[in-house]
Amino acid sequence: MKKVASIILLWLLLPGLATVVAGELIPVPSFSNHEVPTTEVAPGEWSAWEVVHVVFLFAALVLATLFALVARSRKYLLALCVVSLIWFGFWRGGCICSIGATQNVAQGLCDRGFTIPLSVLAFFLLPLVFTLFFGRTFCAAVCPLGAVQELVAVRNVRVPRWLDHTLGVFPFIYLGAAVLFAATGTAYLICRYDPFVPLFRASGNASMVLIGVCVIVISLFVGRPYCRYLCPYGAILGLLSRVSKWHVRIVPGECINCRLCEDACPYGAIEAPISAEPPEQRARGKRHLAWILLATPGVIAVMAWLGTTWSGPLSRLDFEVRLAEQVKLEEMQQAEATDASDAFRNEGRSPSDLYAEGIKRQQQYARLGGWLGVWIGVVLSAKLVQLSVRRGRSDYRPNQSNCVACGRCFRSCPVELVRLGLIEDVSEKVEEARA
Amino acid sequence: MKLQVSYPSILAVSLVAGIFSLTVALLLLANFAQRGTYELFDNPKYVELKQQLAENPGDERIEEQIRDLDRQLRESYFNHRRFMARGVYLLIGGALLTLVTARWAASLRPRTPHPTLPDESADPLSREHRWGRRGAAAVVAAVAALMCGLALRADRILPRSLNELEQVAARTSRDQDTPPEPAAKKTQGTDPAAKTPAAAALPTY
Amino acid sequence: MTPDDKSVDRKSADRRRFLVDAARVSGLAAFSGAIGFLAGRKGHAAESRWQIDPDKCIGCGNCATYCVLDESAVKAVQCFDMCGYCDICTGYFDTNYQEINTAAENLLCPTDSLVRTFVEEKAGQRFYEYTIDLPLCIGCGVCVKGCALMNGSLYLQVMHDRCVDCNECAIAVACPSRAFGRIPAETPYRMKKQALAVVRQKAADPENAKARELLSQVYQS
Repeated sequence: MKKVASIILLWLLLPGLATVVAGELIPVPSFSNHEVPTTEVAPGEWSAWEVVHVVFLFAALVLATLFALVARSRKYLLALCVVSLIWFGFWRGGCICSIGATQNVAQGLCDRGFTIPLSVLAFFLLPLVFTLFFGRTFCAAVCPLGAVQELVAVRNVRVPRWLDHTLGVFPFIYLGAAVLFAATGTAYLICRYDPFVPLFRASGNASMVLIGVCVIVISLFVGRPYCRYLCPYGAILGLLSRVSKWHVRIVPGECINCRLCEDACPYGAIEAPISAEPPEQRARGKRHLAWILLATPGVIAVMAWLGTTWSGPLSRLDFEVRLAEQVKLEEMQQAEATDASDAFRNEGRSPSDLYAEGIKRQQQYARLGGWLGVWIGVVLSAKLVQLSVRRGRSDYRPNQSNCVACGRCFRSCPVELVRLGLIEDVSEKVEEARA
Repeated sequence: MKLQVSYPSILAVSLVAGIFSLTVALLLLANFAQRGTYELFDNPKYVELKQQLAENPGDERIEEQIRDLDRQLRESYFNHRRFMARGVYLLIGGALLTLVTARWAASLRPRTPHPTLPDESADPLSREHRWGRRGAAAVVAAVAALMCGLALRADRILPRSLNELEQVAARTSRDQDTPPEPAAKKTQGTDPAAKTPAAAALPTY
Repeated sequence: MTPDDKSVDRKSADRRRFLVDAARVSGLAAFSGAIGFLAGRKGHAAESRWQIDPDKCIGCGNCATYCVLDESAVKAVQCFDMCGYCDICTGYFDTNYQEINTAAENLLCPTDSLVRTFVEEKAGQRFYEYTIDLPLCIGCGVCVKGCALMNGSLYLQVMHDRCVDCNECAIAVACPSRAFGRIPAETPYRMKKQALAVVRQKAADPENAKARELLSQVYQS
């Protein structure tokens, strides 16, 4: 009985289905005492919040610079760290962050149809401008990702310096890849693999949460692992900080080489004095440098050529290429239909057009892979040159590109303690006593 | 203003908070792992029951089973989601407490500076530079090897160029004009020997 | 060190400082150029929000699982002006339904968020209004797929009181029909083309404020 009823009802539905298939809709009935309601949708949040965030960013950068360079107080920097974490991290949700804004700018420069909101542009540029003049004060107390790592660092393991150099190459490679995929509008890698945004949002996909937990746990023991070995924006900031005019200094005056600041930096950014080399070592060093400089074009050429062979894996991040491959596999009966290929067939585009687009993009990725190879070659050569040049130093200084202006080293310096009035400078009395 | 607290008591608070956070984290992980059992619309048991009902319409027993399972799935879905939301806030709070008390404990026992005796024999900078150079080259080589490995592993599915695409298209249209025998071979699945000439002409990467 | 060495050192230090200053100034100039280029090109570059194009959406179900939020920001929306108010709604009832009731085996919605309310009986036909209980809706699109067999008045939309507006939407990456796009934040919602035509007609009536309010929120390219 029920089977018959359902068949009858199906037949009753058929005219309705037929009209719909023909493109006409079942008309909305007019009711005698009921008004057909209008759809209501929830309004979005106040979009002027972004202006507030930019103003706050500027204020935070100014404060961080004042605290690190003028007041030289780690206490104030830590307080600002907490405020930045709460505001930029938890309140704003950590998105769109300055690190991610790199991708927006890359896409904006290359894709004519892509607009960047002015707030995103401000988030990208303001820290860069401040770093160009005052060093990495953004990293010190403004960046929420840095703030998490700063606050979580409890017991720091010293990373051997050569390992620090080795791993320091990776942020540049990450930067190259991120810019490449963002410029083509294919993928925002930095966003996909951001370890801290699941913490700020208190939710996330399984892989993001796993990466986040791993990085935070590592941060307990290794200081700022994301900042030092992963952050692509940090790579840019490091370069700019190197040429900064008023970089933070350990000693507010003349360094007395007391060596008390040596293990004050959990990030290994304090550089000790370097003695002069004996002449034959200097000559050897110069020859070494000459060899490296000579090999540089070769290295870049090899990496460029290798890069062109990467078009396969690089292009597979692109949706059109993946779709073209899927449809081709289905045509060769080596794969089953997916939602994407069904949707493609409904669109009515011809497969040969899709294949042509896929091939064009794969060829484009071969060229882009070449450019990525060039970039990696340049980065490697620059690193090799940097590690072959030896400049003498007679005092303790923070590394101009790695120092994040956290301020931990200030209190370990006796000259600073004299400046603060906590101890008395008795060097003159010692001189007199000696004389 | 500094409260007079003893190191052991702060350390104890930190440890307790740490254990609490770890427990919450493990519970959340267990909750997440059970996600597969309460997926609402793809649940295999539910799909199977619906299929059985379609084959035996009007069967009261199957209907009862579906209703029970549906209610169970819905309840556990919303319960698990609620647990996850509340648990995450508990975790963040617990982790925050652990962190604050751990740092407080660490500040009560500050480490004195430990400058090491200067290493007069070896020149640490040249060693640092030498191993740094090797390490940087190794990282770049590893990245390049990984990318080349990925590139070699996957077969090339699309033709290499637009010209090749046209050649392949011309060849397949010629194949379609030939007698049906080769076409029957085409549908024999993924046997490489039975691959169409067009597919065989595609170079593997 | 001889005086000559000292002066050579000082010269090289001065030269280095000059180069560094030059690098800094040129860096600043490059930045200003980049800002000018990017900001001036589009005039007022407005904030934008993610949204689904309902005409492209195939109701695949990824919206419920790929959102970074535990409770997806995507939910179903009913366009009453396109709804046939049918007794046997293909978005509400399973195609293999046994009876017209609210038993679980007859319904499509996995969380029971689609609510069926009786409105009127006219000329032997019963009409029902279908509304969505938003807190229960998970954005799976099963009702959208079912409704598409008939009028297609149900569609999925990103709700902007919930969406955190990621720089790269995780659902957008997973969408098989590329239905996700960024539209201006002032009009962060979309409607099907057919629905838009009907609502525009409704909004022409000066007394219908709700239709005008809806249109003010909808992106009309």
